[in-house]
Amino acid sequence: MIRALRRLADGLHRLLRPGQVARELDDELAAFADAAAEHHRQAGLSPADARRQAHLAVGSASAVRDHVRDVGWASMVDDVVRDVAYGGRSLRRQPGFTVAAVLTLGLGIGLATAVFSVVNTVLVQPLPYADARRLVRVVERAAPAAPDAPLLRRVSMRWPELVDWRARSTTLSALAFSVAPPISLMPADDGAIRLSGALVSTNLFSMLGANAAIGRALDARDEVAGADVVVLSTSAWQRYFGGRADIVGQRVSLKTMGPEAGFLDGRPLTVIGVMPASFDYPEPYVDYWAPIASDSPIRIWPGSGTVIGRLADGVTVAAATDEANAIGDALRPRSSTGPLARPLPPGARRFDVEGIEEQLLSASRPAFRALALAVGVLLLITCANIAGMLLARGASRQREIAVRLALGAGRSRVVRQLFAETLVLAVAGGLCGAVVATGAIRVLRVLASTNAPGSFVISWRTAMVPRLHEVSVDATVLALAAALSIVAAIVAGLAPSIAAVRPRRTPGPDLGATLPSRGTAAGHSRFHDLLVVAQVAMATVLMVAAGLLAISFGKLVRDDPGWDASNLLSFYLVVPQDYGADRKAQLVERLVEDLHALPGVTAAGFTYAGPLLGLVDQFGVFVPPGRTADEMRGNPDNPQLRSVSHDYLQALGGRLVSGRWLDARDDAAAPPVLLMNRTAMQRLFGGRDPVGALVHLDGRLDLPPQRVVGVVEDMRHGRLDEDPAPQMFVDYRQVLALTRARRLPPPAQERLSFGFNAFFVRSPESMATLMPTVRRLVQRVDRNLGIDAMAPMTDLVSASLTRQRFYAGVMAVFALTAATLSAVGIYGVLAYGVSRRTQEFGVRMALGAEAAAIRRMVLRRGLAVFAVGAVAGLAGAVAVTRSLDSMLYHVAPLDPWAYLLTTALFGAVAVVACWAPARRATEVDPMAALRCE
Amino acid sequence: MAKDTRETALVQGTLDLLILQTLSLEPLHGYGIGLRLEQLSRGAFRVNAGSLFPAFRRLERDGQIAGEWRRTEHGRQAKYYALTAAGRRTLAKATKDWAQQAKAIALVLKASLESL
Repeated sequence: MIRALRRLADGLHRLLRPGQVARELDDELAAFADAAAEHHRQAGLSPADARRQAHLAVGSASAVRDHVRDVGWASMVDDVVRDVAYGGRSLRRQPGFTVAAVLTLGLGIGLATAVFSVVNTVLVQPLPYADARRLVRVVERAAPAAPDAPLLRRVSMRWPELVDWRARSTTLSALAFSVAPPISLMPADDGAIRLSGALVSTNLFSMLGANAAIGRALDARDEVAGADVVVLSTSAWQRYFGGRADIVGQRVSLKTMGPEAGFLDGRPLTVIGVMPASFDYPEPYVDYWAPIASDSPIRIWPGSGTVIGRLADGVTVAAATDEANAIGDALRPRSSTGPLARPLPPGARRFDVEGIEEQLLSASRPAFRALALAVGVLLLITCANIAGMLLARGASRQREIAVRLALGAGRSRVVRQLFAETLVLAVAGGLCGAVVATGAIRVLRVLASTNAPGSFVISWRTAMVPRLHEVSVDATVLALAAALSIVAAIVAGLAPSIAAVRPRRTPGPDLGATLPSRGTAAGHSRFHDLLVVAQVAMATVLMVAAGLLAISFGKLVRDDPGWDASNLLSFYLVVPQDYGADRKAQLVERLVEDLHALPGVTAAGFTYAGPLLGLVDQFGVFVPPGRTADEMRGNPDNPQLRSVSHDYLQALGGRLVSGRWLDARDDAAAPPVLLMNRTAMQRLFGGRDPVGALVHLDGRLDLPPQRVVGVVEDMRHGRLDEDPAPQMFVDYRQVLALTRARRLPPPAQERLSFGFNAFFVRSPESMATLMPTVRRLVQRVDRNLGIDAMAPMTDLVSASLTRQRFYAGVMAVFALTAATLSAVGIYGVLAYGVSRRTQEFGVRMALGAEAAAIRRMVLRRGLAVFAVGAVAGLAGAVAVTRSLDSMLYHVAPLDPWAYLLTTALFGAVAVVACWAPARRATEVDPMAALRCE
Repeated sequence: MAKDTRETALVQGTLDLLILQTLSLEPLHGYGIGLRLEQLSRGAFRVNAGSLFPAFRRLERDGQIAGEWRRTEHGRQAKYYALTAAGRRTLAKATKDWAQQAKAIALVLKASLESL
């Protein structure tokens, strides 16, 4: 122990005071020589002879210094510093190689780090809640109507059910309830601001282990009637309250709208806290959380909320599932009709307890797996490329190494120096990778963030890339990616160096034999070729995958959705909840008329929910001729009811297939009529023209029927990648009349007739001038109206394709990087080959070979390497791209175009990469080449 | 050439022991140590500076000997090494070990079938 400390101190002294240590040794050596000379003089030698003898006794002073230096650990540190400096110098001498290697490493490590950071956050890391892996949801399943459709799922409960469930459950230690009304209004100076919020049971925050950033979160105290408190999100606090420090204690007034009207009625609420930006339950973009107090109307509301539970300590998911089935069957007896009456497929249970992550991520998991796989391949290509570069360099440095060995350098020292050089390269590459990763994550965030306005945020949340706001450069991932590349570099780069320093079997100390002549590296060269073939093969797989996604994205963008997004403005009207259906009907009529009358406007229309919003409502069960009501219940063929103003379809650019459009005269008093889309005609009427037929929209044969007056071309009202469903279009005034005749409750009447109050304005004028005009018009009609999500339709289309664009874009970047790296690899192997064969080319030219023939020779070799790799890659792609199927739109995983185009593009890059070395080969001066040896 | 063979004939680690023994008689400077070794071995061990100096380094680092700059009898400055207490202990132990080993080796070398 003491000895170890002493050695440590000694080494530090030597490292920190190198000058003093060296001086002392020199003094001692001088004294040694003096003493020796003195001794010999006394023995009778002449002063000159005595000095010579003294010199002999000392030997080489520098050798002594070296030997003394080698005692102790300090010399090793010294050597490493020297080796690294030497490595840096020798890299600086070859800037082309160094820049290429560092950039390759940087790109590979950086992109891999960025994507693995995303994957790690999204798929691996637990959600940012306390002990998130024990958070569960109870899912109820029901058999679908169509035999091969996925099971129906329900994850919500009514409040009374929650109370019963809590009382009965022993496997769940807590159950929290939340309802997220999509629209709440907060009065402001210039009209109302639209917020999205959540009403939650007061145990939610403690159950998730979430604390407020400012003030406090909700707790049991807030359950008493009249507590009237609210917690804000960080973004709402900053956006609507300017981030003011004295936010706690401020009063805000919130009013929930739509089907959730009345949960908050505009009473002033006291702000008690602000949640940190990372808290996003039940979903991102929540602006506020208000408690479900003991007098909340939610407790007697017929609708359902989302429930989340926590597994009690020591309880397994299996035990919780058993209990959930017992409680669920007791609380919700199976009905004899509807989906629940159908038997579940074998093996499926009615209730399942699922981790909440499963729910959040199951949709994006395949895509992220594909991305992770792709970037893993890219990293492998990087490794292969670096290995190839170092291989060529190592082989071409055999002479240098041999010379250094001949001059007396120790073998281990030479290997250590080469190792240090690789290390310098790796560290530079790693740093470059960190920069690339930081930038790439920023780009990924931008690429994946949607500028979805207002209501769209909520309806698109599942279509977005989840949890991206949590992603940052992951240091562990960066270190791992760097380590992998370095190990690859060392294995491939050092192997030839070690071979080079191994003693040769050539007998005799003949220096000519010690110095390998150019051209002894045939073995390395074959390995090098293999590396490049592997790179090309992997890059081809990525190219094909990217090609498939790009073709799919292109189709999605180009495919005709049945409506025309250009020159079309859409907005959603927020109507005060106490207006009632009749007043709303008047407003809609007035607004559509006034909008149409604006200068330049060619069409204006109203519907209950526009394209891309994804709102779908059905109205009873439609029974087409030849089918039964039981068959149609829960059947995807059961048509959607879409409430529209008579000119909505024309305003969107719809096309009539047969019959006539709706008409201003088709009002509440007129005989009820409807239009249907082509899909409805095909699926419900076997493709026969139904115009003139009398139908019962909701299967109520006891009530008067509606007449089909026209068929319109299909329009995609849901997502752009969804095939159209059967739809019926009915004038909103007639929808209101129909729902009233059926005595539906007023909220259901309003939802089916007016929904989210979507308006559409078509005008060739610029959207920038149209938008303020429309805003002013709405304010003029009624100052109490709010406007939500006003945006040009083209923006909405673009935003709705975020996810597809994200995947296609990221994959394209990977593929192009991979192709470029592989091209660099091909270039490297050819350039090295040409430089090795300089002499041969010189001789050939001297003997009369034509430049074109030599060029062809080099090109042929490069293209052969490419072709072998590409064929292997195409075979790999055929095997692998099937897993992309769920991400593709109207493109088969074996689409020949994707294979042909990407291979052709890659081939062109390969030819470019081959060209430079091929030209260099023909520029060899025969005389110079011959003299070269 | 001959010097080299004799020098390499020194068993690994023996040089340190010999230096310690040399210094147990009196403190000496570097050249003096080499000279004394040669004298004591009757010219069998001639150790050059390249071997002596690393040994001084090792021993000094491990606290077996301590160096001190002093004036020589010829009026020059030289670094004199003296045995420390730890060095004395090491020497005693090493001498004992060495004697035992030498005896054992001698026995093995003299071994014949009869002695079994």
